[in-house]
Amino acid sequence: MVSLSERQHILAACPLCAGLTAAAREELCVATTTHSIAAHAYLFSEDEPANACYVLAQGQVRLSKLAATGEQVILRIVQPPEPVGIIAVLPQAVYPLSAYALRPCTLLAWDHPTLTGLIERHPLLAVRALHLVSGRFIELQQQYLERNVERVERRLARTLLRLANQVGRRVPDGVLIDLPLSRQDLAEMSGTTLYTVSRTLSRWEQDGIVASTRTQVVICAPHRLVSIADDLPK
Amino acid sequence: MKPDQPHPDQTVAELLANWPATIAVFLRRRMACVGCVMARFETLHEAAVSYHIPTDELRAEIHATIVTAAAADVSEKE
Repeated sequence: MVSLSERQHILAACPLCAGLTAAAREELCVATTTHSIAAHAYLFSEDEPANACYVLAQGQVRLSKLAATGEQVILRIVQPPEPVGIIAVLPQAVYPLSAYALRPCTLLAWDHPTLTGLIERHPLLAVRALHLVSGRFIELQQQYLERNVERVERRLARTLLRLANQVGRRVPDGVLIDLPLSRQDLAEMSGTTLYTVSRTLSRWEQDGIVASTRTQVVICAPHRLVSIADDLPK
Repeated sequence: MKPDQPHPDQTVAELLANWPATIAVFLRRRMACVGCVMARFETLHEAAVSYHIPTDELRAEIHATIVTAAAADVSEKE
C-alpha cells in the first residue's frame, strides 16, 4: 500500500500532472488505486483490453513488442514517475505492447471510466497526455530515420560487394570495381538517390573505406564494407 | 606435395579451398571470412589485421590445424 502523501508526491513529479492545480491533483490522487507486481511478471500484455492507465511509483518496467519472428523487441524502459498505458484514455483500446516488470513495481492506476471523468473535469490532463504521446512519437520518428539511413547504407555496401565479386580486380590500394560506374548507376542499383550515394561515398571515403573517382570505385577496406553490408558486430 | 605452411600473402579464399580444415579456425575466431565474397581478394595478413589478430598468431594456428588434419589423413589411409 502506498500512503496518500507518497501518492501525492509521485503525481506531483509525474509529467501527466504538470501544470494541474493542487486541487485537481488531489482529485486525481484520491481516484488512484495501488497495484504491486513482482519482478518478472507482466503488468499487461500486447492486445489485451487497455482497461487502465498507470503511473510507475517504484521499480522499472520494460515495454516490448513481439515480432512475427518470435523475437521480443524492446521499445522503452519506463522509470518512475512516468505513466504507462496512456492508451487507456481511449475507449475500447487494446495495449499495443507488453509491459514487463524488471524489478518489483508499485503503480498507481486509473481505470478507463475514472480517467474519462477526470479528463472531462480537467481538460489540461488531455493536453498533457497529448504532450507525452507526441514526445514518444518524435522519438520513434527519429529511430525510424536512423534505421532508414542504415538500411540505405547497407544496400549500397551490398551493391558494391556484389559488383566487386563479379568484376573486382585486386589493385595495390584494394579491390577495384573494374567497370565505368556513375553515381546514378549505383543509386539505381541500390534503390536510392544520387544524392544519398554521393553523400555516403564521400563519408566512406573520409573513413578510408573506399576511394572513388567520377566513374571508378576502389574498395580500400573490404572488411569494413562487409561489416556495413552484413551488420557484423563491431 | 602441398606445402603445409600458408603464405601471409595468400588470399583467404585460396587458403580455405586448399585446406578446408582451416574453416574451423575462422569460425572459432568468429571471423566472417568463410563464405565472404571478399575472401578471394583479402590476404591472410589483411584478414588478421581486420580482426586485430597478430598475423603470426593466426598463421601458427592455421599451420597447426593443417598439420593435424594431414596426420589424421595419413593415419586413415594406413
